[in-house]
Amino acid sequence: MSGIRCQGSKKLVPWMVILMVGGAFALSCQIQARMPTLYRSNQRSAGEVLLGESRLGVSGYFYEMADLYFHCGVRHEHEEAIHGTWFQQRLSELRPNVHRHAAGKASREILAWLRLATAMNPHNVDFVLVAAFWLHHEVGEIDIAQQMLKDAQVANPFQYEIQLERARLYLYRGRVADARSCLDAALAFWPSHLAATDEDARMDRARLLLYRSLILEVDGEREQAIVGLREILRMFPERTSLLERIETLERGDEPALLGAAVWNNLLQSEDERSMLCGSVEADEHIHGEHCNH
Amino acid sequence: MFSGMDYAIEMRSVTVRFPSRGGVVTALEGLDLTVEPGQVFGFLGPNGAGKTTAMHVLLGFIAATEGEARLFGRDVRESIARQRIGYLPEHPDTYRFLTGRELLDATAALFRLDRRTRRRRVGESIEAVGLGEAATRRIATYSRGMMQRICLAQSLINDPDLVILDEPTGGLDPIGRTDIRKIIGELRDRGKTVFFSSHELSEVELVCDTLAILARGRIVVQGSASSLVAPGERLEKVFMKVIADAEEERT
Amino acid sequence: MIRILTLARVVWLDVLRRKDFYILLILLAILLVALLSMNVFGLGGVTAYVADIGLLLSWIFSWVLAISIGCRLLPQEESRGTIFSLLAKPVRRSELIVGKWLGAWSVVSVATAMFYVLVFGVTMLKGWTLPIGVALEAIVLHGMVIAIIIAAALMFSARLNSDAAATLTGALTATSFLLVPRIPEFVAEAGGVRGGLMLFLYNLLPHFEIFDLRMRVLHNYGTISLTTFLMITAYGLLVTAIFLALAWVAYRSKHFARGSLSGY
Repeated sequence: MSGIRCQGSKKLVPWMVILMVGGAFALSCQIQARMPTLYRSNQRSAGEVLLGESRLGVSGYFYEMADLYFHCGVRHEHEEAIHGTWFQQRLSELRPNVHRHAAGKASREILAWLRLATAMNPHNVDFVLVAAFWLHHEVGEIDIAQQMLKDAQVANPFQYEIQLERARLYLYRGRVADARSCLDAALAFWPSHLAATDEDARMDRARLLLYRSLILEVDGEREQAIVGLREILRMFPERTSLLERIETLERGDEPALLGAAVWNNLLQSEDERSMLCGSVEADEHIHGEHCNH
Repeated sequence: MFSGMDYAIEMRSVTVRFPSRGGVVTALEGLDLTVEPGQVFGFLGPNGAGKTTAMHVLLGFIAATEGEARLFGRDVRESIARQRIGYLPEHPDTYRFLTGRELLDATAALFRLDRRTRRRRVGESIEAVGLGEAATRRIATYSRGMMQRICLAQSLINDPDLVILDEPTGGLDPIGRTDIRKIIGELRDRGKTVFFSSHELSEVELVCDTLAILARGRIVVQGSASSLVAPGERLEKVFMKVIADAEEERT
Repeated sequence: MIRILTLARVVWLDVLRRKDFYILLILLAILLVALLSMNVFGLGGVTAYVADIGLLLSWIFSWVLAISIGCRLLPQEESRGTIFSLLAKPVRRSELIVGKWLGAWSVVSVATAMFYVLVFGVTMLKGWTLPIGVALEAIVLHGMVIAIIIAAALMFSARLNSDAAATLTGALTATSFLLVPRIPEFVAEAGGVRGGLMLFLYNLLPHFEIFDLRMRVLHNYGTISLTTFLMITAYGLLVTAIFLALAWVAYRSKHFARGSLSGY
């Protein structure tokens, strides 16, 4: 019915396949050697080439996994219209639900997902910043974080957020001159067209100006420092605490809290805010939309 | 409806109709057939007469629209009715990824033979069909003739009392056909019943005790080979005449 | 019982002598090696992601294997013509269905267990700690999912060819994996007919999410209670039995004919 198989041709087939594949490979090498070198404006990763635009979705998935690992497997809860079904009850018995944050060795595991997320989408600045934060704050690898930001800057040359984060890490290391350069670049790249509409961008500009003003103050350039502080006040008139510092600087006195001390406090409080959830961490609860990280 | 005797095969008023695009096709119409145990029964007919349909009813592949069929007194719809039969289909094929020995062992297990009996029966079947060392090779490496042999061995593994063969010599060389005739003869000598259909009328003449000729879903003639075919006459001539008469009667 | 086991054994030999399973195992090994070689910012000791992605791939591969094997079991018998030899034996069609299911389920479960062993082995060599108890529970419950998928594949392939059956089984199981767990969420946003349809699907389709213990394994949450484990297993057996029963109902009255009607 299906015929007798030819023993001879069955043995030949693997050899023919090897020959064809080898021949194709050799031919492609020959062709490439004879092609003129093409200028490529972007170096694309293997992920970009293989996945195309779907890598953006994959990148988002990896970032969510990082969040999941941060919460030790506890998922965000979403609003549901039906409750208490047999399946939901079983699920509640199965799924991790003790709200806690990864610590120690477990916190390093988050980095793998952030690495994958940034590899899939190197242009997502949020992923880059979160990865840098974890590297320096949780794992204590500030140099690696700095290098990672430098690489990200190459892929995203006009993103001021990366420059800001680089400046912060330089300040952690006491490299004030490098921090100042980064802050100058960040201010130059800050998108002025967002001034009116984007609250986050305005807040970031205020941070940039504050850090830079503190550095200028330490460097003895008080006039420039005052200009920066006044600009913050123009953007956020409610920050009346700055008025006292401006007046002290105008009088030529030393502020009660020196610039370096202020920026160190600022660095720490910003990092702590990044770790916060909406509830006290010691409370056992289901992670939900109210958690703001 | 059924006689008290335990015929090997008993079909009473079997009718099989199939729905088709053009309406309903009647494959068998009021078929009455009995086969006594120990006979070699030739089931003949032109293409499309209904031979395979009748066999499929006996084997339980198709349910009769009307009528009933029994094997050794058991309704064909019960799976136990097939415990004592062996079947070789027209174009035999089997699991090519198995070796001959594995296939026969699995087949024997389906008949619930114990391990010792299985081992013995497998050896006997391989010898009976002349497969020899080839039984340890994968069936995928078999020739057409070897495939026929292993499928025949499969149909004999349970030492059946009734063997149903659908075109057993189709595509075989003269040596293969001789072997099949020899096996049929041996089965008859052992008191088994053989029910087979074939277009090779010369083969049928040599082995059959009883014949039935089917045309358009009905048996037009049935009887012993000696009563249907006069001395010196060929079965082929009788066959052609019977079919021609049946066609004429229909029109 | 011996007929069922014999039919299962034939399925085993068929699958083992094909290349599907080995290819997936090798592919999994290659992907795990690729993952291990990933540079995680130059840091060492980071391995949980390998286990996580490895387990995800194990689920995907076992899903593919279950569908590809399950959907060809019955159609192959018909296309080869071996169904005639088989049903000419004293084999009930119910025994045929159960035997095929048992063979396919057992071989795919073993393959899945091997995927798990490979994933856990590789990650443990790199320093990851395996929580053995919950890992064993995870493997068993994954086996229940495979049982359901193969039963569904048999149900569809009882009346359809293998390609159509594979498409429908894939669609059914993918919907059950991805959509069904989120229906309570979607219903909150939808309303009217759409909401009603989703609720209908929620109650009709099998729920695979309750068999997924990967997060517990990866984050070392310990074993689930025996009661929960038994309830979930019982649910899996029930759904499998329903699909097998439907397969039998579809198959018991099926007529087999060689070629067209002219074959009779």
